[in-house]
Amino acid sequence: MQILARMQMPPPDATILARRAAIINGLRGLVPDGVVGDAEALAAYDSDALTAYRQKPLAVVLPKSATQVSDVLRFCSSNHVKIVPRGAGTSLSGGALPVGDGIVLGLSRMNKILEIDLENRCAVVEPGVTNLAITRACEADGFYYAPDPSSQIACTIGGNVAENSGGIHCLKYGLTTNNLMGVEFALIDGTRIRFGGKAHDSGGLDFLGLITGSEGLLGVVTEVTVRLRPKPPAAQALLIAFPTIEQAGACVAGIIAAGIIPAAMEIMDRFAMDAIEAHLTPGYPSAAGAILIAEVDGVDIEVLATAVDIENVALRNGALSCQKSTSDAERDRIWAGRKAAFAAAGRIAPDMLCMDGTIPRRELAAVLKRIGEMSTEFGLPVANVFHAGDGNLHPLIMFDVMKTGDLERAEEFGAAILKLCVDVGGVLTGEHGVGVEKRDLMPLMFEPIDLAVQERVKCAFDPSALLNPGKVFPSLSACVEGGAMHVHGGRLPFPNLPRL
Amino acid sequence: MTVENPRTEQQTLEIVRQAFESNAPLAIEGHATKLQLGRKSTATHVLNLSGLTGITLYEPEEMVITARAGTPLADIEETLARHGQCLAFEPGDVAELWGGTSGAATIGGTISAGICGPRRFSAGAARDHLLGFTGINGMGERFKAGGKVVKNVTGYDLPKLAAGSFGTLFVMTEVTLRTVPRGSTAAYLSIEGLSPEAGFKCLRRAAASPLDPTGLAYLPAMTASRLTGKAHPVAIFRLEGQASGVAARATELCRTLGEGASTLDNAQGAKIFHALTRIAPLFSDAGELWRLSIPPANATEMLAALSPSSWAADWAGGLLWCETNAAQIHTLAKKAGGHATLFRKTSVWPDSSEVFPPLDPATRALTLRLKDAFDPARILNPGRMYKDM
Repeated sequence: MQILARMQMPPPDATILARRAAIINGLRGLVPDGVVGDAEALAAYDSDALTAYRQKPLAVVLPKSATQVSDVLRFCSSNHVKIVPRGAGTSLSGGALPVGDGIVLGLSRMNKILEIDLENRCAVVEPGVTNLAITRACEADGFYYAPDPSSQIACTIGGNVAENSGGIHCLKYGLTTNNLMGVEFALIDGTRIRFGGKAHDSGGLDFLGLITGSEGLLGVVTEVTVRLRPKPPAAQALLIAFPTIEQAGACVAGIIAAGIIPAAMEIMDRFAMDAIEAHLTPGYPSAAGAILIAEVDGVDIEVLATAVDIENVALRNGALSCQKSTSDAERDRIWAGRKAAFAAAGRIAPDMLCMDGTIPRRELAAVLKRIGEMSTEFGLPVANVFHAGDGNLHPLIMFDVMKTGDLERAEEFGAAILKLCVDVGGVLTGEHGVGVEKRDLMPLMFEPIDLAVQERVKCAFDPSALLNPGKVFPSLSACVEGGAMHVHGGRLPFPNLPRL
Repeated sequence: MTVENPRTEQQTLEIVRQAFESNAPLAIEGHATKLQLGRKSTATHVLNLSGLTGITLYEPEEMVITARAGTPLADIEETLARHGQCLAFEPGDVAELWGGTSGAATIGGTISAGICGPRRFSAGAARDHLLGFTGINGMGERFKAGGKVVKNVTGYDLPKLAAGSFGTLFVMTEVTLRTVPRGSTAAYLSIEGLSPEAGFKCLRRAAASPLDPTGLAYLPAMTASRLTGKAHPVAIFRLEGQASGVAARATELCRTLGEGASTLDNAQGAKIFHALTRIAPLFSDAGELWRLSIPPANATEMLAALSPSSWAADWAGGLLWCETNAAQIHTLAKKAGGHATLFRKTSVWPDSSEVFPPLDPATRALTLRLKDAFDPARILNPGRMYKDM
C-alpha cells in the first residue's frame, strides 16, 4: 500500500523570483552585513538534517538583533516574500527546508546570553544561543538547562522552542515547553510581543504554550527565558540485559508501577546492540535480546536506594544481568553505546532515516514484532532504539541512496511505521516535529476538522501564509477575513525536489 | 435563563450547534464552583456539563487518564490514589472562597481555570499535564487535539491553550491528563519568626538546592495563626518521595537552611499545604483577594507596593495571595515582572474593571483573532475573561 508519495512543496511564485534582485537589495538595506545572495553561499543553507530534501532559498538573511528581525518580517510581509526561520539547521523533519521563492531567516548571529538570574532560576538568551551553551553558562553555579536533544552541541534554543525539542531526560524533566518561562515573539507584521517572563505563569491565554512547537509557522522567536534547574548531586546508570524485548518492556512498566520515574530509560533491540558491538565493542551479553539503560539522579542515598529498587524490578522480570555504575566514568561508558547508536547504524548502511513515533508502551512488543516483519517486506534493515519511559520509538531504517528506489522504499517503510504507531493509539512524532517529513501523514492522526481547527490558528497569526510554507499541514488552505471560514484547495502540482 | 444539561457529547454538540445557528450565547459550567472567578459571562443560556461524567481510560503504567469533562476532580484523585498516583500540579480547589464546598469541582472546570497548588513551581501547571482533549468550537464542530501518550509534538499544542481559557474558545468534553506516581512519604520543615524578606530568601535557597522540595511557602503571623494557632510568621518546606530519600533530603535541607530550621509535625504540615490549595482557610474576612504571579525575587518589593491587610506566599515567593485595596494593582504587578488576577471581589467591585491582567494592544489584537478562529460568533462564555471577547 502506498501511504506516502515523495513530498512536494508549493510551487514557487514566478513574480517573486522575477523580483529577486530588488528583494535582495531591499533586505541589504535592513541588514547591511547579513544578506547571503550568491548561489555558492546559498548551497550551505539548502537543507537541514533531513538531507534527502534540498532547495536553495531566494536569499539568506542573518539579522543581529530583534529590531532587524522585525524589519525583515515587515519588509517580507509587505512584499509577499515567504520566510523560513532557521536556527542551526539540525531539524530531522525538514522544519528549516527552504523554499525557492522565500528567504531563510537565520538566527545564528543572535547568540548572546543576556542574563543568568539565579535568584529566579532562569536565563534570558537570544534565540541563536545553543542549547548546551545555556548549561555551560550556569553549571559552575550548580545549575543546568534540562532538555537535552541529541544535537544539543549545535541546536539553538530558538529552534528548540519552535520544535518543542525533547531529549533523553524528558521523561522526568519534560520537553522544552515544560522548561520555558517566556519568549519575545515577532509576528509576521514585525510586531514583537512578550509571552510570559520570569514569573511561573503568564496572564491571559497561554500563547507561550501555543507557539512552542509551532514549527516556525506562527512567528519568529527573538528572545527566550528558560527555567534553570539545580544539578542533581548524584546520578547512577544501570545497564540491564534481558532475553527478550518483551521482558525489557515489562520491566519499564514495572518500574513506573513501583512509583519510580527515572531520569531516563532507553531500550535497544538486538540489531542496534549488534551494530554498536561492531562499532564500540562494549561487550553486551550475547544471550540478550534487548538492553535497558536506566538512569536515576538526585541525592546520594536516594539514588542508591532507587537503583536497588530498579534492579529488583529487573530481576523479577527475568533480567540476565544488571550492571550499576560506580563512578561517573562508568556511567559515561554505559551511555556511550546508546549515544553511538546512530553512528554505529551509519557504519552498516550508507544512509539512514530516523523515525520518531510515540506509542503506548504496552504495544511495544507487538509494534517491534510488526516492524521486524515490515523490515523483511521492504527489504531494508532496521535498528530500534527507544525512549522507553515515554514510549517514544526511534527506528533507524538503513538504506543506500545510490540504489534506485531505496530512498522511496525507506520513506514508505517509515510511513508504514508511523501509521502503525497511530493505529495502536500513538502519535506521528514525539519530539522531531512534523515539518516536511510527516506533513502528508497528518491525516492518519487527525480528521479534516481537527486539521482545519489548527489551520485557523495559523490564519490568526499569519493570514497570508508567509511563514514556513509547505510544512506541517498537508493541504494548502486560504484564510478568509476573520479567520473563521476556510477554503480548502487541492494540492497543486510541483516537480519533485532535487535530492542527493 | 435556560439551562441545558446534556448527558452525552452528541447532545452537547447539538446544543452548541443550535446556539451558533440561533446566535444565542452560552455560559459554560461544570458544578459552578468557580462561577465568581473571572468576569460574569453575559450569556443568558447555560450549558452545564456536569452530566458528562466518567473515566473512559486509565492506564497507570502508561501514566495517562482520560475522563469526561464533568467528572468530579475528587473521583479522579481517588481513582489515581488507589493506584499510587496523582495529578502532579496539585489542582487548586478554591470553591470555599465564595461560600461553596471543596470537593465538588469538575476536571473540565479545573483545567479551564488552570488553578494549581503548591507543587506547581516544581512539577508544572495544569497546562503541563493536559495531553489532549476533545472539544466543540463555537461553530458546533467537534475536534480533537493532542494525544493520549505522554510525549507528543504532532501539530499545534492546543491543550496548552485550553488550560486557563475559561471556556472562551471551545467546550471541552473529554480530557486526557498525564499522571505521576504519588510520593509515598512527605516531610515538612519550618522556620519560625523570620521577616518576609529573610523567609523568602530561605525559600529561594531551598528552591535552588538539588533537594527537590515540592512546597515552599511563607505565612505572616496573622495568616499562620489561623492555621497553627501560633502568631509567628513561618516559612514552610515540603519534601515528597520514597521514604529513605525524603528522610535524607530533609536532613540535608535542614543543614542547608541552618539555624532555626526544624521538623514540622506531618499533620500540621499537611494542613498548611492543603490550605494552600483551598486558599479560603488562609483568610478570614471577605475582602478583595488578589492572586499575583511574579518573579520570586520580587516578592518583598511587591508586598511593599501593595501593603496587603492579609497575605500568604507560595512557590518560593512566586505566588502571592493578597487582601488589598491597592489602586493600580495590575500596573504594580506588571512593574514587578508579573501579573495579578482578582479572585474574590467585594460587592462594590464595578463590572467594568479588569479581573484578568489587561492586555497590551498587540496581545489584545492577537487574542481577538484567536477567539475568532475558534468562536467567530462569540457564543462561548462571552465576557468571561475580557469584556469584548
